Amino acid sequence: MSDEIQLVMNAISENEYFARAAVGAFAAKMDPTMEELSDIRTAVSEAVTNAVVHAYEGRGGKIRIIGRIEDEWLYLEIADEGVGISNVRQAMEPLYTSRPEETHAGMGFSFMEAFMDELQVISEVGRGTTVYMKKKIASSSVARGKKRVIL
Amino acid sequence: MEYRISEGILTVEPGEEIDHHRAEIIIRYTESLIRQRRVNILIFDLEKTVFMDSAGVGMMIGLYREMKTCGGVTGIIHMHKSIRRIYQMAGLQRIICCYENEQQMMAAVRQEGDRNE
Repeated sequence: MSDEIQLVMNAISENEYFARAAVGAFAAKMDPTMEELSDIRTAVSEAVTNAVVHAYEGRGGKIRIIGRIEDEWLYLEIADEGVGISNVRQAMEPLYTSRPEETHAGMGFSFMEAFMDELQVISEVGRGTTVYMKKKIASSSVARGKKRVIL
Repeated sequence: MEYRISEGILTVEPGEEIDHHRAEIIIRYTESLIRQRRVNILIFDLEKTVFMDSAGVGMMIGLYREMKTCGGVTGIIHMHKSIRRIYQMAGLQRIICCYENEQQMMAAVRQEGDRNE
């Protein structure tokens, strides 16, 4: 199975719900378990929230989401054209937050890493950030079909 | 979102999904309630909550701190399995205890109070 969606939305906090709901509905084609679906929705929510809060600092802009299904793999690309991250490694450290005075847990990237199989963050100061994630849906009909053939 | 105050106990029902958008609203309102009314105990009732991301974790830590500065207690009740994964992954159990229901939480709080006397 292969399929692709592209979404462009305003970077406003109301759209955090829309983004994870839309990607969740797209991923549902792969017949994931409830837990896998919850993992995907959480990872999308984290990436989109980062774009709303940090990339555009609440001023708004556009967020572009690409979702791609290739056999049992789900690929996600979440991109903004915001301020960018000067030190990606530091930003990805657990509990690191650039805004300790606010109620941020500093766990966004940790959650994305924990819930997806792969996470890559490409950022350029002044140009924006793109988060690439992929996840294997073990229960997908394709994976199940393969297993059946092997057996 | 629902808020109930009775005898110094503030119960917050955050709704189905706690993300950054909802968390900001809940933080603002709950903080003002804690500051204006005499709240000794804050309960997050997650009966209806099926989704929470790291913003929800940040919200709980922030409100726990707010309660702690005025000597109050914070707890969570009715947590679903999907939220429990986030709760444990974030290490929230080290600062905010989770109970089956309000009765169980109140019994634990009373016991703790007795021990401190």
